[in-house]
Amino acid sequence: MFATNNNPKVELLVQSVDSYIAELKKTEIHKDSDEWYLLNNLTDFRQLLITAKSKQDIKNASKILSRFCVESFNWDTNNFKKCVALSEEGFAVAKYFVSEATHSI
Amino acid sequence: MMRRDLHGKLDGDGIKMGQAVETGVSFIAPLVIGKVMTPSVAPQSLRSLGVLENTKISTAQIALERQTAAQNIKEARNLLRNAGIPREARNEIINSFDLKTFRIERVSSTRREFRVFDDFSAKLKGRYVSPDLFSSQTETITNLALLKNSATRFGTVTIPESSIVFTGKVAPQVRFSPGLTGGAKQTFLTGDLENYNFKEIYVRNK
Repeated sequence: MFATNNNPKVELLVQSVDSYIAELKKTEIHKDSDEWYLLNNLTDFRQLLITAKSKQDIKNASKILSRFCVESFNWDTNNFKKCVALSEEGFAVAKYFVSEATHSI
Repeated sequence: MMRRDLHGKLDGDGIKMGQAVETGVSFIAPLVIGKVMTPSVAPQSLRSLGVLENTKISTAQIALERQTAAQNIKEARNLLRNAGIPREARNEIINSFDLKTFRIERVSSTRREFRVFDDFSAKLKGRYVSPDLFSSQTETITNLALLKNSATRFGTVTIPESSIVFTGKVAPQVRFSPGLTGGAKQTFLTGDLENYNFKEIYVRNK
C-alpha cells in the first residue's frame, strides 16, 4: 500500500512504475549501467509521486524523469520509450491532480 | 518640493519627485529620485542625447534576436518530433534553454566540452553538456540548473564535426528550486549517443 492522496490517476501511474521496476529487476543490474541509473530514477520518481502534495510536485517529478530519459538513452530504444511514456503520463496526471488543500475546501 | 542641486541652485519648478515628466519627444520618463534638473539643462530631448537612436537600434536587435531564436526553436521542435520525442519531453528540452539564446547548430569542427554527472541519478553518457566548467559543486549545480545531479563526477565529451546540437544559455529552474539560476552555456547533443566520445576525467572528493 502507498499514500497517493487518494488520487486514482496517481495510483495507476505508481503501479505502472512498479511493474517496470519489477521487470528491470528480473535481470542482474550492475552499478553504473544504464539500467542501474534507470532503476534509481524510477525509484525516485515513485517516491516523489507518492509524497506529492500539489500539481507542481507531480510536474517536478515528471520533469526530472523526462530529462533523465531524453538525455540518457538513444531515442529508438525500448528503455527510452518506456521511460519517457511514464514521464509523459506524469505530466498528464499533474494537470488533473487535486491538492489536499483543495480537497478540504 | 524645493531642493538644491549640486551647484546650489534651487529647484522650484513645482514638480514632485517621482512624477512622470515629458521630455520633448513622445517618451514619458519618470523623474529619478535624487536628481535635480536645473533650468539650463532641462528639458532636453532624448534625440539630442542620442538615446532615441540607441533605443531604436537595440529594439531592432532584440527583435532580430527573437526572430532568429524562434526559427531555431521551430527547427529543433521538428527535429525532435521526427526523432520520436513526445510533446512534453520536447517542451522540456526546449525550455531548458534561455529561449532567446537558443540556436540549432551543425558543428563545423570537432570540439570538446564537459559532462557533469554523479553516482546515482545522472550518468556519464548524457546529452546535456557544457563548454563551461565551474570550480565548486554549488556553482556547478546552480549555473547549470541541475535538477537531480549532485555533480560529483566530471567527464569530457568529444563532439565530432557535422553533429547537430542545440546551444544556448541554461534557463533558470526557479519553480523547481529557487537556487537554480542557470546562465551557463549549454549544449544538447542529438542523434546516437555512440557518435560522441565520453571520458571520465575527475571525481570530486567527498
